Amino acid sequence: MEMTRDNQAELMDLQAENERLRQQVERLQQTNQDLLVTLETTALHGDIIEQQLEEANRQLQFEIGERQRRQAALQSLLNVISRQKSDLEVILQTTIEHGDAVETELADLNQRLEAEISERVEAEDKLRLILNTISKKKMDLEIILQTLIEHGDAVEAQWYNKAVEANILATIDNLTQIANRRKLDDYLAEEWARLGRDCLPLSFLLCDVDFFKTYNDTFGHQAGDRCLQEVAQAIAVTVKRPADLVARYGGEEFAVILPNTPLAGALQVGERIRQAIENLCIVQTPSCPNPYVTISVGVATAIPGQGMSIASLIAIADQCLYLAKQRGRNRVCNLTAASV
Amino acid sequence: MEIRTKDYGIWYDPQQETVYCQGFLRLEGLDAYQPIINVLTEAIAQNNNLILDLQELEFLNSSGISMLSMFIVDIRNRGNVHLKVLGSKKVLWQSKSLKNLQRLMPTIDLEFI
Repeated sequence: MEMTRDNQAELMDLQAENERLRQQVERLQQTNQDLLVTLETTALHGDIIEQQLEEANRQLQFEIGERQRRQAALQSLLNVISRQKSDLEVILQTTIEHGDAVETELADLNQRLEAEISERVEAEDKLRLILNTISKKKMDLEIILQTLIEHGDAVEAQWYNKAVEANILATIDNLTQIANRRKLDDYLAEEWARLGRDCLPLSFLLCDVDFFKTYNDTFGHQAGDRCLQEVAQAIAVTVKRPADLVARYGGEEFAVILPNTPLAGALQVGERIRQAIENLCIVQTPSCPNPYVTISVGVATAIPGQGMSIASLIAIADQCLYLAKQRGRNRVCNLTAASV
Repeated sequence: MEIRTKDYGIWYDPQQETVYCQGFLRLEGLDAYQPIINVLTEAIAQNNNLILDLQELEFLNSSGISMLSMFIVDIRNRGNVHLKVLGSKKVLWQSKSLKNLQRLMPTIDLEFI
């Protein structure tokens, strides 16, 4: 009996054990089932995830490739830009240094120019002063020059007037205010030469106041002088042409030069003179044949140079005058016509 | 301060403050005029007033008028001189030339008698 209890107990234990094992198997089976489901689920999930990862990986690979290409391109660009940057930095440096040098030079130049301008302004001021002084002197000199010129002209005019006056005085007879002997001689020589060239006649008249010595002695020298003045003026008025010349020959003698005048014309002039003196009615002394002062005239005519000299012309006129005196005075004589 | 020759006379009368010039001045060149310039400058050294009496200066050559012009410029530059010039209406050169001196020194008191 003891054994049965033990067996029973054991059996019971075995049964309990068996139950526990069965339960355990069940739990394990359940767990296994769960695990299977889980495994299946996980495997499925894993596949999906794997697929997704694969896809994602592919895309990432592609993107990495793209990015690598871009990076390479960018790297290349970067290299170019870096070189350019480096070049530009060199250029910039060079430019800055050059700019500094140029700036320094310009500053120096500017200083020098300013100094030069300042010097030039000073020089200009000095020059302006000098210019003003010179201008003033120039103006003075111009006025002095003008003064000199006008002074020269005035002095020249002054001398010229004096010379003309002296020349007139030298050729005018002081008492009668007609030409004097000197003028007569000069003019006769001039006309003699001129008419000789043209073969034209020249007439020469010698006039002498009749009984002048008696008149002078009776009425005095002053009256004699007045008489000579009146006679001279009367002859001068009678002889009208510009080329004719009336001169005092000496004492109471007068001479007339008639250029380009033949004998007939000269005789007419002589007669007009004689008449003019008579017409003056200057009272003569009662002892004389004529109540008034008269004049005798000798006339000579020649073509100059044709065998005749001035002296011989005058000599002929003198002879004619002498003839007029001899024939009773108050008449005009020449060598062919004794009286007109 | 007096120069007299047979042709001309120049002298200064301090009482009258006058330099008289008379006769015929025909010296050759400015150098020859130096003694006359001396008379004029000495006269003006003593006095700021000067009368230059040229009435009887009948003749003055070109060197003479130059000398006179330069003297006028000198006293004008001095600035404080009163100058009176007496000329004659009867002397032709004076009526022509003296007026020009007034152009060099407008304050000249110019009188023609």
